[in-house]
Amino acid sequence: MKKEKRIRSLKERNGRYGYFFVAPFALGFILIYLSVIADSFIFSFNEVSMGQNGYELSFAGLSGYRYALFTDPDFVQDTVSLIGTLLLQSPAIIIFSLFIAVILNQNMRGQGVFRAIFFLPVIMATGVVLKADMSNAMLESMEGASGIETGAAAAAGGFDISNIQSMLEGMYINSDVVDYIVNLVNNIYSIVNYSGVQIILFISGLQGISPSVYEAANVEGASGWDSFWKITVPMISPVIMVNVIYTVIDGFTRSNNTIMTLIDNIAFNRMNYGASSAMAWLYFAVVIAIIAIIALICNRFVFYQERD
Amino acid sequence: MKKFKLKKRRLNRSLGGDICINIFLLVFGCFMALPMVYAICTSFKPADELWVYPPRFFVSNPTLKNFKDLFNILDASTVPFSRYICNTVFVSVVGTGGHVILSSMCAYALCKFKFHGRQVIFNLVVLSLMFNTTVTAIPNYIIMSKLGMIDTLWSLVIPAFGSSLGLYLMKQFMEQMVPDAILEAARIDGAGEFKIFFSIVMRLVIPAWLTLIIFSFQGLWNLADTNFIYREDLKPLNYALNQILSGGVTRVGASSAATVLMMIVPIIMFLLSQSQIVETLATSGMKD
Repeated sequence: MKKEKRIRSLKERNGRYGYFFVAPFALGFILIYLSVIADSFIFSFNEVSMGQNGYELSFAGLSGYRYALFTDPDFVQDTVSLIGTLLLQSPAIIIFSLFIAVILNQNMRGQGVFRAIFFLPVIMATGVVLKADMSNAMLESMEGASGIETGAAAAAGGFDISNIQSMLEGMYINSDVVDYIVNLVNNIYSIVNYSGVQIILFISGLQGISPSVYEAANVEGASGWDSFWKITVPMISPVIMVNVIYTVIDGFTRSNNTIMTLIDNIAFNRMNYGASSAMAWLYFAVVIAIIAIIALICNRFVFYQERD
Repeated sequence: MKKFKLKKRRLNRSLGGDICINIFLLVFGCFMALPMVYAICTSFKPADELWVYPPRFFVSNPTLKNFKDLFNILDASTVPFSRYICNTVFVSVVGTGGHVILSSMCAYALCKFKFHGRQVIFNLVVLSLMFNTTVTAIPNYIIMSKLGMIDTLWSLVIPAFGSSLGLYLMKQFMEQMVPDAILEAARIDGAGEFKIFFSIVMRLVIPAWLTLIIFSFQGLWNLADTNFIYREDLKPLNYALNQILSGGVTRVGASSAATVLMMIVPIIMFLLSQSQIVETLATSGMKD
């Protein structure tokens, strides 16, 4: 049999460069992240105990999963309620951050300062800043109530949500909708707080839209409202999708949410590493399923400029 | 490059609208800035004002005592203060730089080259974004120790290189911002792949990687405790300050001073890179 030298197409030859570009990242990723995740998958089927070479495994089958689903009193219930909360909160975060980003993208004075201010919560929510007791107490009191009950800011505390609630109910608006709105107003601080990253992403997405498109629309007589819906939204829709996914992931993996604390607690306080790995994998599966559904829905509305 | 001067006010914007927007931003901005203002005020409060109940928002007799306390405490530790700062700067700068370059290279390949397994790689990266970090603590430590990176700053830097969020963001931005036509034009003109990457692709996605720098730097600067570093002279500033904060009630003043110090650098970084982002507005190279 004659061995023929395969002729590669241009695309294939270029593809080899692709491997070259991917290699450094992929290598590090596989080494540091993937192997670790694979290990935790093995752990979830085992009993983990301390041994001579770090840890010892003894096969325990599905008992970790059984513990998570049927024995632990909180896991299932907390997961369900967390999903509910996040699905309600995410649209509000996205809409709010798009709104702010569009405003901050206009030419105006103090643009940089305003952008920095809206990014502050992200800085304030990490590291030492989070740990410093006093300001933390401050943050908590702000997160807890719609008004701030401390000292000079007491004036803001006079705002009462129940007035709005009764007003909306008086307008014969569906009580579910009213509950949703009231819930949002009550959590306004955490919504604003969690949208720092999204605002920045939206702004850099908006920077990618060429001003000439708006100019053309303007010449043709489109109003600002028109060009927002007909230009900004379609052009920025890939970023919207990124942000939707980021928001959901961020909500689910935030280290202070109920499930993450539960898993942490079971791993290191009750020393049941196997069961906590099993829980993490179940939770992981749930999150993936939700993200997949969201991504499928979003993908239908996303408009890529270069798609051919 | 000479920039086309955009008109300051677009035709369809009214003065009333401008005022509304400004008022809205001011109100929300004040709301968002409150915690920071409070932290700054607290750091200037003398001891008696720190413990007033109900707490007062603004400071009435500002002092620098808290900052002096902080530096005294830091001086008393066995490792000089500058050492901590060096560690932090090294971790943040090297980690951020490596992360931005590696993840943009990877993102570029994932969205502009057709090769086998690219979808698999991308999916794995996105999936790993969602994984719980707690349960990976033990295997993580073991891998780090097998790589011999326990008690080196690389144990903080290397994982930052491979963090998946940056790759995901970069890929999405490149899909939106880098037209295939411009790459083809460059290839026809004889540019090599690296030339294309560094002088065309990276140029086009400046807003994206400046954003990435903000996120990555911010995260690394404020890195929470990890389990990989035990030697005192290798700890980043943040760990050192955390140790101070755990000193309890007597250190409230010093800790609020520490908060303010730690906050300043990311904010400056943010302002710098944001001003750059605005500059890149008119650099799009396509005419269609």
